[in-house]
Parts: sequence; C-alpha cells; structure tokens
Amino acid sequence: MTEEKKEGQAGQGGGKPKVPRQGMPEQDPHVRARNFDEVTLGYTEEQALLEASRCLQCKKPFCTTGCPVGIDIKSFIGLIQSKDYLAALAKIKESSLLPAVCGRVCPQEMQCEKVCILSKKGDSVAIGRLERFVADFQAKHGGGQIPKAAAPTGKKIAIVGAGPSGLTAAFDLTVMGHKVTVFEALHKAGGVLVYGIPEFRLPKAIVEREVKVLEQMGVEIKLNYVIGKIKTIDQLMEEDGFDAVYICNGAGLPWFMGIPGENLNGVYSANEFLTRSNLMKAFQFPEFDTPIKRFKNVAVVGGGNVAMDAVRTALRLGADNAYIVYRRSQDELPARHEEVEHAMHEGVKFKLLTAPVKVLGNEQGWVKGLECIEMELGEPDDSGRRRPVAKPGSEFTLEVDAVVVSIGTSSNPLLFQTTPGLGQTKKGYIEVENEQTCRTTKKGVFAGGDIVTGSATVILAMGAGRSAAKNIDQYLKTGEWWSK
Amino acid sequence: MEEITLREIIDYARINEENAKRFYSEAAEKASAENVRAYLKHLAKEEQKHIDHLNELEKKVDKSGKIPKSHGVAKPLGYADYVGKVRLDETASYQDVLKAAMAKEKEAFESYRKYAALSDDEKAKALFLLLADEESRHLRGFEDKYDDFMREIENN
Repeated sequence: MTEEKKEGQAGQGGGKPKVPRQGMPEQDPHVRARNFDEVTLGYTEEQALLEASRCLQCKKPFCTTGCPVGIDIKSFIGLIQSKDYLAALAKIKESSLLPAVCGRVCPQEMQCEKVCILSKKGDSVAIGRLERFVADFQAKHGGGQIPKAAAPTGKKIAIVGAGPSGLTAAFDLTVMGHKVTVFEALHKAGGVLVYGIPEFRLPKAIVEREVKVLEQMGVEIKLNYVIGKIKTIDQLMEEDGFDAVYICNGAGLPWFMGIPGENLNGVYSANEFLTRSNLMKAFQFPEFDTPIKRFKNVAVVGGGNVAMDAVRTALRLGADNAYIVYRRSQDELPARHEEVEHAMHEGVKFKLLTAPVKVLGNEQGWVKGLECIEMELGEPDDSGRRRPVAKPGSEFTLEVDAVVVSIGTSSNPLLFQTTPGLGQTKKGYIEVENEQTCRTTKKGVFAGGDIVTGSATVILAMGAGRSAAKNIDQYLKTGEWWSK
Repeated sequence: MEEITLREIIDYARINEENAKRFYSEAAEKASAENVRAYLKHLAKEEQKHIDHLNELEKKVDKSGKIPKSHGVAKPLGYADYVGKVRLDETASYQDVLKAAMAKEKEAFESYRKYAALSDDEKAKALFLLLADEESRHLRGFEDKYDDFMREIENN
C-alpha cells in the first residue's frame, strides 16, 4: 500500500500553468514502520514531467548557487522537460558523481530548493526528486556510458576512505588521468552511505552500482585496509611511491554523554547500532551472521539525521516504543524536516526539552530505564539564543531496555598518532590551509570531508572531494605548497 | 562558624585558584593531543588572571573595608550536575577538559555558597557571596562552551 504525500498548491506566475509541486509517493507509515524497504518510491515519468514543467528556466538561476557542487540544475531540468533523461543525468554527472544518492539524502530544502525563485511565493521545484528520477531511470532502463579518463599522467594518488568524499575525488582524479588507489577500513566501499544510512532511506544496491562504475574506470579499491595500522601515510608516500594522499576517513568516533550508567549492557552508540543493522545486515539475521538484540522500548538520545535513522531502525527491528530524547526544542532539531516528519508518522515518540541524566540498570547489568530531567528555555544570551536550562525537581524515568547515544562523532586519533606533522584543530579535526585547497600541514597530504569539518552532509563531503581533486592535480603540476 | 578575616577569605580563594592553575598545568603536561594541551595551558593562564583579580580585590578591601558590588549570579544550564567526573590523562579530549572545568567551578561555587550561609559576619558573608557569584559566571561560561560544543557535534 502506498500513499502520496500531499503538498502545497502551486503559486508560480510567469504565465505558466499552475501545476502544484508533485508529492512523493511513499509506503504507508504503518506498513513501512515494520519493514526495511525504501520509504519513498520515486516519481513516475508523468510526475517527473509535471514537476519539471514547474521550472521557470530562469535567466539567472539561483538554484545552482545553492548547490555545494554547483550542478547545472536549470539545464538538467530543461533536458527532463525535453524527455532526454540520459542527457539530464549526464549533465548532473558533470558536477556530481552520485545523483541517485544525493537525490535521496541531500538536504535540498536548505540548499538548491531554498533559493529557487518559486520558493518566494510558494513551493520550490522539487529538484532533489527530479535528480533521483533521472538516476533511477538510468538504473532501470540502462544507457549512459562509463566516463573516459585522460591519458595517464604517471602520477599515483592514495585516498584514505571510500566514503562520498573519497569516491568523488577518486572519480575526478581518474578522469584527469591519475592512477588512484582507495584504502577502505571496512569490508565494503561507501563509508557512511553503507554503514550509516539505513536501507529504507538509501538502498545499498545504489551505492554498489556507483562503486562498480569507479572500478570499471580503473580505480583500485583496497578493502579491510586500515591506514595507520597496516601502513602509515609516510609509508604510502616514501615506500609505495604515492605522489599525494587525500585523507577523507570521516569522523567516526562516537561521543558519549558522560552520565552514570553509560557502560551498561543495552547502551549503544548510534554508529554501532546502525553499523550492525546496515553494514552487517543484522536486520536480516540469521540469513546474515551478525545478530542484533531486539529491544521492546528504545530511547535514542539526540536529534540529528543519525538519531532519526537509529530510532526508525529500532522500530523496524520490532520495538513497541521508540523515543527521541532531545535536550532542546523542536525548532532546534538538526535533522531534516522530512526525516522528522517520517519518524513522527511512523509512531516515534518525541521527548523534547528533555535531557538524560542517568542510565538505570538491573542486577544483571542490563538497561532498565533512562532517568531524564525536563528542560526549559532560559533567558536570551548576548547572541539572542535561549539555551535550555534544567527544571529543578522535574526528573522522571523513561522505562526502556536500550539506549542509543546519537549526539555526534569526532575524529579517530589513529592518523594523528601515526602521522608526524599532521596538524590538528582545537576540536580534534585535521588542520587545513582552508576548506577549498584541502592542504594539510604536511606536504603532499590533503584532507577533506567530515575529518576536517566535523560531521556534515554527503554533498558537502562530495564537494570537498571535488576541491581536493582539483588542488591535488594542481600540486602535482606545480609542486607548490603553503606554510603556516 | 569560627571568626575569619576578610584577608583569610581572599587567601583561601587564592589557594583555590592556584590549585586550579596547577591542575590545568599538570594536565597540559600529560595531554597527548596538541589542541587539548594548548587549551589547558590557556585555562592555566585564565586561573592566573583570577589570582591577579583576587590580588586587586584584596587591595580594594584593605583600602576601603567595603565589599565591592557583585555583577550578579549566572543561572547554570545544569550540565555540571549530570556529567560524570573525568580524570584528565594523556587521552583527554576538549570535551573532557570542559567537563573537568565545569566540575571544578561548580565545586568552588557551592563551597563559597556554603561558607556564606555559615557566616555570621555580614562582610564575610558578602565576600563569600561575591566569590560565589564570580564562580557562577565561570561555571556558566564553561557550560555555554560545552553547550555550543554539544550543539555543534549533534548537528548530524
């Protein structure tokens, strides 16, 4: 059973017929809350054409300025209007390697769609959904070509991490004619796309397809290869002859709250919880080897996209009650509005302005509850922000048998420990000249994505990969570096 | 409570600040992460500023015999009540340092409040409250930093 999300009525002028923004077909919330199939089903061709017809083909399109990788949005939508879907996809691929991924997980409402001229008086063009449509069209109907690489330059580049940033850099550098080897610590390429984002939001077959294209282009991907353990960055450059290294290993070390009881059985980091389910396919146990305990009442602490993924996974694993516990107000939830809405429709219970203070355990050392305290917004500070303050005496206990901590991640210290000369910022990330050049404090070593910015979005990581590729290419030609 | 002079109260506060300065300096020696080491050194310098401030306060009190007016008490965010205590060793992170700092400021705030409540002498009481108010602002400063940090890391 499917339902089509109702969206606002059209309101654009310019003499075009008033076509409303096309809703996205999706599984019924009650059904999807118990399965791992993709929630949103994608536009039909008819819907895509209707939606594309809403684009005004502005002379000066703002949408491209809102895209972190600068996709020529006007042109690709124009090609959809002409029903030339493969050309539309090729146009996107001039700037973005992963349209099927970005069409699903990018926060378009904060980027390209936010600056769409139609959003001033009504609903913007659904750019992300159209991007997904053309990518899915190719997957379904075939067509398209493997991009060709320039003549070999004889230069070797090592990329540490096969997430969205590394894959993008690998693509661009290969097209430039360089020989690229990607070192991935896990047994599958894709990074957060395979271990973090659940199947119901991003089917893994999509990622596998994109990785295969890279391999067909000549990119070598070494799996189960931990740089800093098996080989150091210095060894890659001095012994293995790599001319440059791009570090984009993400920020995968989870933060915990530091409250009593966090070491009890049944307390997970969101990373572990999601990795078990997504990467290790624990939701398909015993078909796959990794088990996961099925809890009845689960509290997920945090309010970001990862927290939404974890709480919705908990529901699908069979929880009767799945809670989001977040110390701030609804307005401050960092997750995409769409993800919050999906979670609410699926039955997730939101405990907002609520802070955990202690995890309670039973005699066997398993979680039996989460003691929380209610918060209220304090007086505005100098910046006008009202920080949440605890309401004395408002403590209460949430009866849960599992707690998933999803309050963010930081950098793994391994590379800093094994790479002399690699600078670190106060917050623990890799120090770079700036986020455009991606040059670290160590000559020939570049860095980008979450390991530089802290946890951000897939498209920003891809943008960093693109910048890094451009700057690596320039470095290989000039040998120029910077000094602090 | 035993009679205590205003100078003894300031001496006591100075010892607390000196202990805090030593605590941060020693933690800086141990920390392996360069960024954490730098922040701990910065905090040790801040404690020296507090010592300097107490020296100035002592002069003012000596000269006028009056307790300066407080700049007010800052309402805490509550983090210090619930984050566990941490030991700052070689693995210390920025978050660990903030937690340790919050715990220290809270402890100081509460002890001055307690001594103020126990004091019969109005001036001693006022001086303890002045010191407590200052600690409340230090505590809130660290809680704000911790809140900013948590907000930043939870953004995805």
